[in-house]
Amino acid sequence: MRFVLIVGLCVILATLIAIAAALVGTRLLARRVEHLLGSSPRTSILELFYSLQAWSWREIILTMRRAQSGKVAEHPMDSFVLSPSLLDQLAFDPATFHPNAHPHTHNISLTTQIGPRAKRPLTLRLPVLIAPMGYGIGLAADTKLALAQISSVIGTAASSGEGPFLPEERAYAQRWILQWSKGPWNHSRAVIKLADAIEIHLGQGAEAEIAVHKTHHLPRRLKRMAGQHQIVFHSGIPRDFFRLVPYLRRINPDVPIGVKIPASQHLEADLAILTALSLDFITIDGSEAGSAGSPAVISDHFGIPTASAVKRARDWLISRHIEGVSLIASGGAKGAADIAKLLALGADAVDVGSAILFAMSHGQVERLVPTFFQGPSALVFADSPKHRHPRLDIGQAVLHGTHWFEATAQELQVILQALGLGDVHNLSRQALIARTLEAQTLLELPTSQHVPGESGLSQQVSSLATEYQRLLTSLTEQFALLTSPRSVHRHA
Amino acid sequence: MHKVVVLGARFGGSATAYWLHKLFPARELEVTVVDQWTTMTYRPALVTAAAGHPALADQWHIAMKQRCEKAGQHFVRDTIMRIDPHQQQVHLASRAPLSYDTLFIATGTDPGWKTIPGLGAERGGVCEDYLARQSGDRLHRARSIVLAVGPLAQAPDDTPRLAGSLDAPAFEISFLTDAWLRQQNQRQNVKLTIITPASVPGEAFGPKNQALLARFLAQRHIDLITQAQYHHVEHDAIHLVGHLAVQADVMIWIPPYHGSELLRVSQLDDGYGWFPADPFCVHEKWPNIYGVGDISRTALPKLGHIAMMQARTAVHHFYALRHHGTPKPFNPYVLHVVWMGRGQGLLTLSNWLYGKGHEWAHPGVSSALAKSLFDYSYKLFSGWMPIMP
Ligand SMILES: Cc1cc2nc3c(=O)[nH]c(=O)nc-3n(C[C@H](O)[C@H](O)[C@H](O)COP(=O)(O)OP(=O)(O)OC[C@H]3O[C@@H](n4cnc5c(N)ncnc54)[C@H](O)[C@@H]3O)c2cc1C
Repeated sequence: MRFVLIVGLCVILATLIAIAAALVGTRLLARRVEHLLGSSPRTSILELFYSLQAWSWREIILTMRRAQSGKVAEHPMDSFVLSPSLLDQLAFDPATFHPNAHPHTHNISLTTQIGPRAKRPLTLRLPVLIAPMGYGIGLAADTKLALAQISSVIGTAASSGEGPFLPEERAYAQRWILQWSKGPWNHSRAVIKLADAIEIHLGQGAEAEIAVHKTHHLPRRLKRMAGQHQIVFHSGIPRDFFRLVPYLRRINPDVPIGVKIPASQHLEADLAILTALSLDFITIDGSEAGSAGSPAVISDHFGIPTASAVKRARDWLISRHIEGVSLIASGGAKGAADIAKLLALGADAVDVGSAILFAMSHGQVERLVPTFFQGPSALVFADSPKHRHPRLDIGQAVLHGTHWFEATAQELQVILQALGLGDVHNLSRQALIARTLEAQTLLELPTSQHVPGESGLSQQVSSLATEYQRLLTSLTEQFALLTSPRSVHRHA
Repeated sequence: MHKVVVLGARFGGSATAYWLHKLFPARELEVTVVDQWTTMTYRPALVTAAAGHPALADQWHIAMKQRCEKAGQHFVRDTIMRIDPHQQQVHLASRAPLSYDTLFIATGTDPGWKTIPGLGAERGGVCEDYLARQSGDRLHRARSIVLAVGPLAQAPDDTPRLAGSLDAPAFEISFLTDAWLRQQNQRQNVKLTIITPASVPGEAFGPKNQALLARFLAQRHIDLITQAQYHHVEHDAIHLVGHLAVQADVMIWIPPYHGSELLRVSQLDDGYGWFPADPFCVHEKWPNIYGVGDISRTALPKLGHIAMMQARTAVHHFYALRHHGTPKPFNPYVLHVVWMGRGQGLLTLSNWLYGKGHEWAHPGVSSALAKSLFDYSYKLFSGWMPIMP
């Protein structure tokens, strides 16, 4: 009993001492902070506060990276996007009386064809494609196989990306797009014959058309495949590019053939050249597009947004009465809302990359973070066998990736239902509302004139900007018309 | 050394590689096995994955590359593009052509996903790991489940005749799903239907088995639509000729079997995509080419057990040729166990299909045990078991 009493008294005493210490400590800390706030920030930690006003974490990390490696700084996944992104500056116009909301979602058709002029068009159960991401230079083999499996159970297509041919990927994918790259592989007749569609990779949003050397993070199998060769993706347009399309068509005559380009300010001039080649589809990769690791000075500072590129490309095709060339939008689509907006702006299908990678790593990241301090990319990206981290669970990745696609399909149907549309092909710009002046101007959305609260002056400025944009477009088109036929003939 | 190339590394190809290793001295042959996958998906186990247990689909992969390499054989992972019987070469997608002196083809049949309008792998299947996994996952949200057996596109004068590609997995999935749903007290909420082009359940097994299967289906309230001719497929319904539409929240297809594209492009088929084999599994025109398993027009029904027996026949014939022995022709019989759920199985041993009239059917726990024993030993020994059929 006495013992319990003594212990009790000790506990009370200790608690009192702790409270007193905490009070004194807090006061001391408060005094220190107060002093810090009042002192010169030049050398104190407060300097960070001022730095972060001007510097983003992105730039700070890239600066550190440059300092550590002395090399071009790169970062993976998405590119820098001004906030809010152009896609977020759009909303949908709900159906009310005319049209009426669609009665059901289950019979709303999402089926789409890429390259309808081809003998064997690529038929997709929904207008969403898995973006090209190559084995070894980007993704791990397991990730590629999981993506191929997802594509088949969903009814969309998988793409080789710029990496080497994986027999298992082709075996799993019911629809397989060969990306004909400027790299050292996949140019054999056999591989070309195996494709259900061929996309010639001229460049991409995160890399423009620069040369890319791959030396790091290469898995063993890729190194074996490359043999003694250095892995180089050449810059610019290949010398024999204008002979390439007919060559590919001779080998695999039935399938759609397209080209992927980065979205540039002179997009219309590019389109004039490309459409002269009688392509089946054109993929435009906007400035938001990410990669497994591209020079930040390119990925974050080049190109025009996907939304505006798609809008301009569709306008140009319509103005030239060009039909049957499918337009694939790529870069920055995070989910059904973004996809539907891009379709409404004129795309026939939309590539998704980062979104599906995130979805696939769902439920597996917790295995990485506490022990390895790595993010989802460690699960899905290719790496050298020296770096050890848990492997992707393919089964889980496929289930979650498929769920993401199924949810996206349902969300697309819900959007179409709310718009009063029974078929994804009926989605047009009329469905869109600009939430900002910038979106109204860039995308020439008719409803934008009714944006509430707009002052007379801002309305005038916006209509002036719209006019200017129209003038610019038509001038670019004229310029393209003047230059393109001659250049095409010269190369043909 | 005599160059032997084996195309395909599942039941047929793996058993061929086994017999080549077992019968021939190592110095006599240089054996190369080719497949697009280095691991074999053990298909008989996929029915359990499709019946509501998706994770099981990833537990039945067998490392075939390792198995072959351990035995001193080469293993090439690549897509086979074409066989040139004149030049005796196999053309691959990403490597130089492989030369052979003797060729064994065990690349199976291609799924005929495009032979019925609206059908595709995305509608649901069971024949590959990813399809079984997906079906098993989708089942959890279904109120009506349809198991559809595609037609078998045989040459018109082939005998014996079978109408369906392979019906056994459809029965297995339906029985296993029934048991699984009952366990969860959900059976009354879910409708289970089997559609088959055959006129009876278990068309290859014989009348005793057929009667038993029909009885078990009725007992478990599993609907059966026979003699089905498919018209087209939509995401939630299968339309049959005669305007009957069967609604399905989830459909699981054993797809139409319509032969092999590889044989067609290589002009080695019988005009219908099948390998024209003689009783020793030798090609009717090319004596140094053997056809084994699902790809062969004589492999009926399209079962792994038949593929293993054909591998045995083919390699023994090849051995007899080189060592002046007397080969035995292919003498088929059906040995199969249908999973029935609740720890039961239906064992069939029958040569009724080939007009010989012997048939044995044994339902019960011991049949299920026999199947489990086979499955696990196949996995344990990577297909090269101490006793091979
Ligand atoms: C769901 C299901 C359950 C089954 N259950 C049973 C059962 O319980 N008992 C039983 O006996 N049978 C069963 N079977 C049947 C059995 O699986 C098949 O009969 C068997 O797989 C046939 O073997 P195979 O070697 O002839 O061909 P396949 O299994 O088709 O193998 C062909 C191989 O060739 C490869 N290949 C094909 N084309 C190419 C190419 N162009 N390039 C590279 N590689 C290529 C493939 O990758 C594959 O590995 C079942 C089948 C299914 C679908």
